[in-house]
Amino acid sequence: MKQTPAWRRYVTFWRANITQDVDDELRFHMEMRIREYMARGMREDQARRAVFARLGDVDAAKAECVELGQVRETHAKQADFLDGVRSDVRFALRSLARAPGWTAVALLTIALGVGATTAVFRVVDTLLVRPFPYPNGSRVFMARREFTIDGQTIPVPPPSGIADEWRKHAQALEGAAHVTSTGSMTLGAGVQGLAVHAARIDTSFLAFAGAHPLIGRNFNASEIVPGGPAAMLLTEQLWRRAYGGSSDVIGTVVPLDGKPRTIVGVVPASLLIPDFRGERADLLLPITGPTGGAVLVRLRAGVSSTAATEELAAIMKHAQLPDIRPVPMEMPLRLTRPQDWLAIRQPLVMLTGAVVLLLLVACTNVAHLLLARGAARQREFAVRHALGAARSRLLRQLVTESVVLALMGGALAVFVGWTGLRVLAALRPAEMVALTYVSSDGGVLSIASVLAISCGLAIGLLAALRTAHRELGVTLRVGASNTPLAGRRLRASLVVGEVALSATLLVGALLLIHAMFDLQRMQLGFDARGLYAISFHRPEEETSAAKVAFASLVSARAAGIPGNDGVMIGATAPGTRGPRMVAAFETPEHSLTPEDAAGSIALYSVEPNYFAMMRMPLVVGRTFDEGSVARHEVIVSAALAHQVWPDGNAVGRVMRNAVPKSRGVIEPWQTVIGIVPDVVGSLVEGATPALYRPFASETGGFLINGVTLLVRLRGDDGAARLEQFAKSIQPGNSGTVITNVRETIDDTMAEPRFMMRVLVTFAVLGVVLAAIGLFGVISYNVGQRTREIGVRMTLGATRGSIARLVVGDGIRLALLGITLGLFGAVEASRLIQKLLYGLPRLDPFSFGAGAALLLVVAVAACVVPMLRATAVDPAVAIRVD
Amino acid sequence: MPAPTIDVLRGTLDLLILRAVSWGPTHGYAIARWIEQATDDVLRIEEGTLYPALHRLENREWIAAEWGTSENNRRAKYYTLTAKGRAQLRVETQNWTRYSSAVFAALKAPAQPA
Repeated sequence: MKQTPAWRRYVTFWRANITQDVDDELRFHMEMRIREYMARGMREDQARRAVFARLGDVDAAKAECVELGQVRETHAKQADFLDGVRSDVRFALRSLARAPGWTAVALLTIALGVGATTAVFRVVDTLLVRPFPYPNGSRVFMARREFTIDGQTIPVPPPSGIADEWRKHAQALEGAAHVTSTGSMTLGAGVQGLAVHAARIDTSFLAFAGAHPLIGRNFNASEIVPGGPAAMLLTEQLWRRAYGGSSDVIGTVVPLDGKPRTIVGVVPASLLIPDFRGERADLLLPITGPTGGAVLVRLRAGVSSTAATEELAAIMKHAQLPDIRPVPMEMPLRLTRPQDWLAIRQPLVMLTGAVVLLLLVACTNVAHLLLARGAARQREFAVRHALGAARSRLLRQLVTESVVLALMGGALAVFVGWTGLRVLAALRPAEMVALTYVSSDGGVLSIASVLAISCGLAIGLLAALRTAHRELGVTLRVGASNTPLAGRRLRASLVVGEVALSATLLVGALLLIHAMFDLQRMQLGFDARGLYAISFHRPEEETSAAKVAFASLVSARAAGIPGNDGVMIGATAPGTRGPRMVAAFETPEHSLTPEDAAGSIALYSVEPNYFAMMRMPLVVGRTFDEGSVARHEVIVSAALAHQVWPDGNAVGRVMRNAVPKSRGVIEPWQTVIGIVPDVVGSLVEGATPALYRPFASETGGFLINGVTLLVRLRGDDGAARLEQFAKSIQPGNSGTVITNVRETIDDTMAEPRFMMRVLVTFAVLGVVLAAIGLFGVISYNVGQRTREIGVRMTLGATRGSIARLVVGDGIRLALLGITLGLFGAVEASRLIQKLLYGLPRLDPFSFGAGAALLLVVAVAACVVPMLRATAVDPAVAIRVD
Repeated sequence: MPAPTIDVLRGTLDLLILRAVSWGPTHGYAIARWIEQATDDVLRIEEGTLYPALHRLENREWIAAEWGTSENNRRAKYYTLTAKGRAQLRVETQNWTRYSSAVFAALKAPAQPA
């Protein structure tokens, strides 16, 4: 480090008036000259005239000197300032190094607070704020229809061909592109077959997204019509993985689901292909027929999404499209952006709030720690003030110290943030695909450094304000003894706030944990032990007859799976995405009015022995037999029976679904022959009403996308045995999906579980920070009251009573905080309830355990200051000043 | 006056000032006097240029200034050579020596190149 040149300190002596100095210097020169000339024999006036003549343009010289002097002064000031900062930083580092334990706690606090905030901000930025990564992304929306059922909003794809209509007629749009995904497919043939996910796009999608093929070309107009040449585009990832990035792939013909397709191009990895099924697409196919998905639209600048929605909806209403069928319910068009689809939007906003509060807590903690460094520091400042250090200089010193601390903490926080992001991405529920796009890139660094610096400034100012409050001179004379009441109250209320916040987080986390424990043990209504579902993928183009033949082959072979307790073809278990039906039931006694809301119910087509296989005992009535299809017999779940016939006598009554009426279809009356228990397919939603119909095998309707099979197996290696079986049926086809029914049902809790883990992390963080905060305040108080404690001890107070005094302080604050926090938790649980079905709001276990845990932590935080207080030597404490 | 005096060139002035202050704290008048005496009054200092030059050198941190009391008890600004200035003096003296001897050699050289 460069030392200040010694001469610089003289600068201050003449800095005051540059002009005056220049005058003095020149006058001295002239006087000397005049004396010289007079010594040579000139008269004084002659000499004076000669000197002026010799000097030339004095004013110009003076002006130049003054200007140079000003430049010098500016530089000197800057150098002075930098020197000050440098020595402040050096001083700060020295004083931090003197108290390594203290520094470690402070650094940890900042690192945790800033790190957690950074990670959450990054997630929120990606999930909630960031628009589509396309040109003018802020004006890009996804157009979908939607309808609301059972309070849930379900997106419906816009009719096919609408993108063209919109492009042609809509004034509000700059562009539109249709994109959709088609589940899993097999690329290649035989053993080398790769399971891939495909998305379908129209010809304008690439231009819309601002992407160009890396090699090859986009689809052309002939490939986009049905029956045209079969083409596909690979994504860069698949191209590198499967073809080693070789440019020879262009023009290659590869079987996709058994049908030959030509690779015409490769799209860059940076292209975001919207996913509708939670899987990233590996390859792109042209849209050739009626498909789902959504239309992406880019609005013209200045057009509001409301205005655009109106125009697009009007065009859609009058468009002559083959795909527009009368639908039984309102399906308004809606323009959304990625952040609107997020189910956990509200929890995320909550999370952001919580993390900001945590950061605030961390800041106040560090400020306390800074103050709690004791009276010695106050005296140090008082002495320096007395020795001539300006108050502003001392404040700068404090701020520098905290900024240095914050920057060091910030460096650690970057690591905390990085780790946090990685953990978040690892824990993410499957639906939160976007989280995989959250990268730990420079964003983390910039957020962390901005946060760290602002924290440092905030902390420094907090601490500085405290110091500025105090008459420095007074401190020196009477010693640090009496803290202003206002400051004490402020500090106390901050700590109470910290404790309250962590109590809320803790109880919230415990509520979630408890509720999830209960849900995990929920009665499913059927026996899920050893139950597996397999689905074999079949090409869409296959004829119905071929599919039925394949199904019988599977059925025949499946009976031979070792250790099986039953096999059923075409059956679906709860939780495995079975068909649902929009229904509003009417009975001869009660006809539906149009206002009667339609609900969504689970629909199962089952064979007579399905209930035996699922181990669902009939509540009442009997199961299907051979003639059930012809007799229009149905079996209902207990909840549905109660819904349609609240009187409780369902068996033998008739009903039908009134929804198809709006399409001009009148269903025959269906007779209820039995009632089965309600089954749970999603732990989050709980039991849903269900309707069981007899299985009509001759229709083959269930075989549209493949063949599903339900198997119950003994033993633990069921999945492995099924895999072998699947290979024996379709060697090399990796499109087969084997699911464990119990695991699938457990997976429905992925989102609450994610929230729970995040909340637990935050709660732990909050508790740690609250403990540090309590420790800081109690330590500070003990430091301030050293004299008082000394006096008390002299007057006969025992160490025990001193300990009670100190710990009592801490516990009073903690209890107040915990009480407030519990009120907060009641409110928070209302929010969490929306996330999880059946969450008890006032669960005594969670509230009690949370409060007890915090109280224990609070007492623990008081131990060190208590020991310090009881170790006070009265003789020394009183004499100290 | 015995011989015409020569005005000091700008770059040369800096060199002469550095030399003048190299013996210890010196004020502006003394610097001017030293240059006149050391060159037998051949070089004449235009005082209008001396002071801006001094201040410029001060800004470059080749010389440092401090106020002191003169021989006749007047407040005067004294200049001293800094470490940076000393290094500069060495370099410029060498440059000047090489330059002047080169010019001198050229002037003394035989009439025409062969």
